[in-house]
Amino acid sequence: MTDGDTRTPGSEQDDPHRATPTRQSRLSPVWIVPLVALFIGAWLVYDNYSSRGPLISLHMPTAEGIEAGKTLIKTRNVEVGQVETVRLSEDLSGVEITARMTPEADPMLVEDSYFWVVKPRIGRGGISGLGTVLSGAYIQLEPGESDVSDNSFDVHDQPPVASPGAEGIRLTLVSQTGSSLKVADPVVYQGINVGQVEEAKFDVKSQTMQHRIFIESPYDQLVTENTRFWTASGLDVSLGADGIQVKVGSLESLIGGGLTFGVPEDIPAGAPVEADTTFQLYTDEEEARQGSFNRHLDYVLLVEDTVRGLSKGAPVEFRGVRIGTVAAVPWNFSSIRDEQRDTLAIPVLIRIEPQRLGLEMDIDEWKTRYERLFNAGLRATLKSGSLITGALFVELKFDPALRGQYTAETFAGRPVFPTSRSGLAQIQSQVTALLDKLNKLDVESVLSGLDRNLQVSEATLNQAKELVSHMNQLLGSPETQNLLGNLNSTLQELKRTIGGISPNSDAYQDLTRTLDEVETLMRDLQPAARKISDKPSSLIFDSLDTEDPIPRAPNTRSSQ
Amino acid sequence: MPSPIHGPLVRLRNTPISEHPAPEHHPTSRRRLRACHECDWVMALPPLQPGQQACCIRCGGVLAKRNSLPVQRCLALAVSASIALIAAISFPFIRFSVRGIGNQIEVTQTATEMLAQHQPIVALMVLMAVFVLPALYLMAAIWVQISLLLPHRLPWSRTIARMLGHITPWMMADVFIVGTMVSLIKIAGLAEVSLGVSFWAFIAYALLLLATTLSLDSDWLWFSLSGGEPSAPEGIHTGATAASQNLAGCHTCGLIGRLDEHGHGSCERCGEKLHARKPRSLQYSWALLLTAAVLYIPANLYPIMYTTSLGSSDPNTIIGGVIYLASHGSWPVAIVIFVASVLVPIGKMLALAWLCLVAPRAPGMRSSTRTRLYRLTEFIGRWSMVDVFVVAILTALIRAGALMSVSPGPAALAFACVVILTMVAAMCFDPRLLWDEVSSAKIKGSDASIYDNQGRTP
Repeated sequence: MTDGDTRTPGSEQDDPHRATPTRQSRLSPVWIVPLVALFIGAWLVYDNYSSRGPLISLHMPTAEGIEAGKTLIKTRNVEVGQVETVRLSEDLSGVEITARMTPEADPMLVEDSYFWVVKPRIGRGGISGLGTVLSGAYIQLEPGESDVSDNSFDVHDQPPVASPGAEGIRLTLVSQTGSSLKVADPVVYQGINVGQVEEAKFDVKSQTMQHRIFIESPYDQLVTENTRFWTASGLDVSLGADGIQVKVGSLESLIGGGLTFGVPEDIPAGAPVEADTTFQLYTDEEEARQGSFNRHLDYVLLVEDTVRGLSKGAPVEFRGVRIGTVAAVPWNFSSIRDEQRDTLAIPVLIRIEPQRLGLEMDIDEWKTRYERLFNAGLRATLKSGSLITGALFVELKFDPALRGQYTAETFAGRPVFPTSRSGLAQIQSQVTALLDKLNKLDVESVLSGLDRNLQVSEATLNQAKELVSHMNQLLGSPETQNLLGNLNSTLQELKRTIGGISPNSDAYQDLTRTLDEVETLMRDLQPAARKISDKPSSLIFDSLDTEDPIPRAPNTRSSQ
Repeated sequence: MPSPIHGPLVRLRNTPISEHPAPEHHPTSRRRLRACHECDWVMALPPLQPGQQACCIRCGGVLAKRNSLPVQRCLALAVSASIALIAAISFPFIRFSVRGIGNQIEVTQTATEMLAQHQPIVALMVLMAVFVLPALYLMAAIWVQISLLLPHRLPWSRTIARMLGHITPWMMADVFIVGTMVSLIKIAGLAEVSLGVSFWAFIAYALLLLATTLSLDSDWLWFSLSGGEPSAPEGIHTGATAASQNLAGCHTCGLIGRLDEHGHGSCERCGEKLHARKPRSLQYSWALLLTAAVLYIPANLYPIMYTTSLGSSDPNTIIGGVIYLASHGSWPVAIVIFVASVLVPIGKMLALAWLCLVAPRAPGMRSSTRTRLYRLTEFIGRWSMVDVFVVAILTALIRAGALMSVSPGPAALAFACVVILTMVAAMCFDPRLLWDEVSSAKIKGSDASIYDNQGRTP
C-alpha cells in the first residue's frame, strides 16, 4: 500500500491479469462443523428440556433408602421419574423430596395417585421387593383415577392394598373397641381372601376406630345391607351363660388377624350396598350375630336384688326362648329414680329383639303388645343360668297374681319393665312361709288327745288296782274261788279296754303318723336349707341347660 | 536466485515485522504473481486490505487472504488453543452413570480405549486427527510466528512452515465435537451423563484451533519468513495457465517457479516440489476411490459397534443407528449421522468418480461448476469421521461390563478407512485437470503434451 498503486478502480474487475480482491466472507465455511455441533448441542439441550416432565414434591416422614439423583420412581416397574433433591422440610418434621418425572408420567400425577417406598418386605403373603436389596429402594407410583392433577404427594410406607382402578367396593367399618386390625390385613370370606384393610385410624372425636376396607370384585356382591363384619381374631375364648366357647380361626388370621363377614342365616341378605357404606365392626362372630338385630325395644329393669352374675350380652328369655339381650349392667346408675321406689334399685338395660322370633312386626306394635302383656302379669326376674359360673339371665314370666297391677313408669327416658322380686328375698319369704306352715301344723290337739287317753288308762288302771285288791279279798274268800270265772271274764273286759291304747289303736296310729310326717318334712327341708345357705336362687330356679336357639351365620366355625 | 528487490527487503527488516506493510507489487512487473491452485491461471495479486482476499478471476478460488496483525493474531490463537488442549487432556471429559455404576473418561481415552479393544488403526486415526496433528500444528504455528517476531529466524522455520499446510486437512477436532454431541444424544436416554471441565475445554480448543487455521496467512507468512518475495521467472505472462508456460505455482507458498523439461521442479522460496500437474493424479484417485468403495460395503454390512445391555449384546450398523435415532425422535441427530455416514461418503465417492471420469474431456463451460463440486468434496471429507468418533467415545465411556458396554465392530475400521481413502483420493485429484481442455483450447501451447501425459489415464 505504501507502494504506488497504479491501478484504476474501474479496471480492477475486468482485468484478466489480476486476481479479484474481495472482502473475506465474514463466516468461513469451516465454521459449519462447529455450527453443526452447536446445532446438535442446542438440540440436545432442547431435547433434554422438552423431555423433562413435571417436577413433583413428595413428603415422607423419613428418607430411609432415598438418595438424591439415584432413587427412581417407577410404575409397574417402568421408570417414570427420578428423585432430584432430598431435604428436610421447613418445620423439620419430615422430608421433602423433589422428583423429576418423565413427560409421559404427567397424566398419572393426579390427586389420588399413591406413592410408596418399595423395600424388601417380609409379610404373610411372602417376601416382596427382594430386588431392591441390590438396586436400592425405589418409589412406586400407583396412578390414580381422578382428573384433578396434583404435584404434591405423600409417600406412604405401605403399598396400597388395591389399586384405585381395581374393581371392587370400599367400605368403612366403625368399631368401638380398639382392634388389632392393621393396614393390609386380609378380609376373609369363608377362608378366601377377598380384600384387605386399606386404612386404620382412630377417630379422636368419636372415640372409634375407623377402618377402610376394600373388597375386590366379584366378592363385593357378597356385601349386602344386612352383612355383619367382625374381626377374625385367631383365638377366641368366651365364658358366658352358655358355657365356655373356644374358637380357633385359620392360621393366617391366627398370626395376623383379619376380618370376616357374613349375613346371619335367619335374616334376609338385603340389597347390595353402595360404595363407602359404613358398617359396624364387631369384635367376634357371636357379637356380630347378636348385633344383627337392629330393631329392638329397650326397657329398663329396676332390679332390687343383686345383679352379681348378670353381664352385658346375657340372654333375655321367655320360657326358654331367647327374645332379647341385656344391653348394659348397670345402666345410668346415677340417674334419678322415681320417688315411689324406696329401695335403691339397680337399673339394667335390656333389649327385646323381636327379630329373633322371625316376626316381622312394627316396633310400635310390639310396644303396645308388651304394655298389654305387662297388664297380664308379665314380669322380669333374674335367674341363675349356670351353677358353675353363677351367670344370671333375665327371665320373663307371667305371674297371675300380679295381673292388672301394672303402672307405666319410665327411667331415664326408657320404659321400665316391671320386675318381680327374685333372688334371696324371694327365697327368704318362701322359707318363712314354709316355716309358718310348719308352725300351723295341729300337733297340740293330737298330744292332748293322747294325754286324755293316758288319763283314761290311768283311771282304768286304778280301777283295775282296786279291782285286784277286791279280787284278792275276793280270792281270799272262798267265794272268790268261785268267782274265778267272774274274774276271768272281768280280765277279758280289762284286756279289751287296754286294747284302746295299743299300737293298733286308732289314737296311737294317729300320733305315730303325725310324728312321721314331721320327720319327713324336716328331712326334705334339710338339702333345701343347705342350698339356701349356698345359693338361695338355686332352690327357686330350675337349672337352665337348654340352649338358646341361636341364629347361625353361614360361617360356622369349629367350636368348643 | 538473486533478488532484485533489495530496497524493500532492507526496509522490511528494519521495521517490526508485525507492522510490515502488505506486500505490494506492480501488475506489470514480475512481482506478486500467482498461479491459481485450482485452474492454473496466472495472474497478479492485487493490493489487499486487512480482511480482504484475492480470488482467481477464472475459477473464483481463493489465492491469498489478508488479516490485520496476522502474526500476533495467529500466535495468540495458537497459544490459546494449546492451553485449551492441555486443559482438555488433563481433566475429566464426560462421566456417565447408570444404576449406580458410573464411568468417567478423559478425552484421550477415546483413542487408548480403541487400542485396548484391538482396533489399533482406528485408535491411531483418532489419536492423530484429534490430538497429535493439531498439537503439532499448533506448536509449528507458534514456532513460526515466534520466529517471525524475533529479529532472527529460528532454525527449521521453513520446514515447519511448510508442514503447516499439509497438516491442516487432517485436523478433526471440530468433527470430534460433533461426534461427542451425537454420543451424548445417544446415551442421554440410557444413562445419566454429566460433562466435565475437559468437555468445555475441548470445545474451546476445537474452536480456537479452527480460528488459528483461519488466521494463518500463509502468503504473509512466507513473505515475512523469506524476507520478501522473489520475482516470477522471466517471460511470464499473466492471463494464461502456468503449465502452458512450463511454470507451476507452489501449493505451499504460492510462488511461481519454472519447471524442467520433465515437468518437475522445486519452489525456490519454500523448497516444495513443483509439478505442472499432480503426478498420476487420476490413477491414484481411481485406485483410492475403488478401494474406498470396496471398503464401504463391509463398513455398512458389519456392525460398527456392539452395544451390550444387561448381558445381551446387540450389533449396531450405521444405518441401524440412524433408524434407531430417528425412531426415537432424535431426527436432527439422525440426519447428521445420515449425512455424515451415508450421504457424504457416497456423494463424495460418486462426485470424485464423476470428476475423474470427466476430467480428461472437460468441456470448458462446466469447469467452474466442477471445481465447485471438487471444493465441496474436499471440504466435507472430514465430516464422515463423525461416526468413527462416536464409536470411539462410546467405547471409552460406556464400560460397565455386562450391565452396559459398547465395543467397536469391524465396520469401524472399514469406515474410517473409507473416510481416509476418500480424503486422500480428493487430495490426489488435481482440479487443474478440469480446466486443461479450456487452456489447451485457448492456448494451443507447444508443451500441452506434458500435462497430457501426466494427467490422463492411459
